[in-house]
Amino acid sequence: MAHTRTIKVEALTRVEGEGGLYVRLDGDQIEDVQLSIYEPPRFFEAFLRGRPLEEVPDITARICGICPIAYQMSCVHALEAALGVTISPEIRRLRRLLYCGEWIESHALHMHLLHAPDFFGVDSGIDLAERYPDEVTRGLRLKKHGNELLEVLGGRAIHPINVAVGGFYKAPKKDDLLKLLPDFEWGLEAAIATARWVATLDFPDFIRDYDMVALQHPDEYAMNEGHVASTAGRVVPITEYEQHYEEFHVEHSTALHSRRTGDHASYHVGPLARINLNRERLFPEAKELADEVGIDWPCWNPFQAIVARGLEVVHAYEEAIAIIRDYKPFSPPRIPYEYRASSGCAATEAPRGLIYHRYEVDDEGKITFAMIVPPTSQNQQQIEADLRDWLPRILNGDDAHTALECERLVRCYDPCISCSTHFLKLTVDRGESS
Amino acid sequence: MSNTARPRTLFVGIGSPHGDDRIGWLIADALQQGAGRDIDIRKAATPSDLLDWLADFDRLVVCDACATPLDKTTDSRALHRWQWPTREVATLRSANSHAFGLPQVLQLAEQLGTLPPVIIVFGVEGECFDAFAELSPRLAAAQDAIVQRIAADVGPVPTGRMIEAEANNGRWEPALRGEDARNA
Repeated sequence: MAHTRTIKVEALTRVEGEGGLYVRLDGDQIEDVQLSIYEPPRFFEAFLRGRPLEEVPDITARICGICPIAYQMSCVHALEAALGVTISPEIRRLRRLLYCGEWIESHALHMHLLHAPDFFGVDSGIDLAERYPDEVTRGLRLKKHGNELLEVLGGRAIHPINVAVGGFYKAPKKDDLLKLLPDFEWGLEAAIATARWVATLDFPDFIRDYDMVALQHPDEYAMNEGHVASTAGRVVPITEYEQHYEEFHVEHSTALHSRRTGDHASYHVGPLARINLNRERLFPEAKELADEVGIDWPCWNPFQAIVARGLEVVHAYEEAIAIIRDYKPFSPPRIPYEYRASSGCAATEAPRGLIYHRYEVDDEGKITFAMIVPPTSQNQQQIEADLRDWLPRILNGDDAHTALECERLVRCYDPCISCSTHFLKLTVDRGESS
Repeated sequence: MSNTARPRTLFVGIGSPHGDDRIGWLIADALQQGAGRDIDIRKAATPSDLLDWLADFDRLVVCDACATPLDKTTDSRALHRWQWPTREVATLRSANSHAFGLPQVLQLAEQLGTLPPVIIVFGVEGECFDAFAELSPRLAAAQDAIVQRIAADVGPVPTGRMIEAEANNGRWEPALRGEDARNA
């Protein structure tokens, strides 16, 4: 008689934040898969209520040390929608430049230190550095470039403070940006070499039937604005996001999950979704590289997300270089506005995927309601669905092997558990009852 | 390894605005006040930030909050001082939850040959890491003493309240001495 088996990953490694994984099997039948986020909820949304709207960019930036810009960009656009503010093209380009910095920094960290070790059978980025010191050193230089750009534009490297509702508190000096150019020109070539390197990795043959969701814009690789598009064919305005996607609570996690409304199906956000939906709008070298790397786009293999990240790093360098070269200081750096009781929403593309914010403000400029839907929350149900299909392929080994293979899959999503708590220990339950 | 015009000591306070996780940033701010030209003081949100800054320094001093159970035998929280390499830092559970923590960062830099010759790590035991919480009363009372103890390792002592630090096999309990103990 088949017996049940439980496998637990008490603490997922090489992910941002803390979470666990619980799998219960009856023989080879998967009975339950739970991605558990146990980092305590941080209650940021409640914390914002009653605060002046000007404080929101600096407060939300503190949700995560890795991707503060995603929170800042999403909230300022949402609040500007509420206040009826239209930013200038110069502010818009500078915001894209800032986002390029965060994509470079976050992707370079994940690719080299968190995800690449999985493809070489080593435990960590430290072991990888012993075998591939040049590649890891190159990756760390890329990460540094991203942080340096954040420092110039954001006012400081950690939790940038220069982002304001309506624009920036201070526009950067041309010379401060031009100083970055030699490193960024080297970085573009290094990013191309990195993307080619990760494209040669040995990827498991795991093709999924995803509904991938990302922003889409007619004229550019979407970062800060556009419609919410899906590989299933839906294209909806951001203002209708909540009509098509909803958060819900599950007992085993402190983070909300997300699903499509109606059929309650899971969906996938992140760099793979972005490349699949927006490949034609990549900058020229990134687009050419996408055609070279041996992937028949659209790509439905989550393990190849590392290639998508590599392409986005190339894109980010190209776009950053173009913006820096063309940059001219401008005034005003911030568009003035008047308070009015209203509400507004926005979505932008964090390194890990689409992030949605909605706020309500009163006529004194105070926040009366805040809703923040980070990408990892949106991916959780999809990760559990992936694991249900991945597990039958990896159950032949012992529990340690199964746990390791589960973690490999989870890391494809670069989950930021800190952000989603508002995340991994693996428990595989093969209960020995017979 | 470095020339005389370049800061030779890098101090990094790792932290966040959340409760006792603030301590690394607060110590960095305090040290900045009396810092000489031979020390570069920085604040980091994640330990991986250090990887950007290590080049050309002779000494690295790091301060981070750490989460440990309260020592029930002494009812105290402690300031730990470790000299790398040490097994204790290798197993340190930083209050920072990100998986690429301080031990991993130091091990990676060592692997890549970018680690300065001298590494000192201060771990400050915290008890509250709630979002946007203030420093816990116990740690707030100990803050000046912690600054003084760390300043002794990084260079000139900044002005401010002088509290006698007591080293005891690497374990030091700044909040539980004299007036600060009564106020904690």
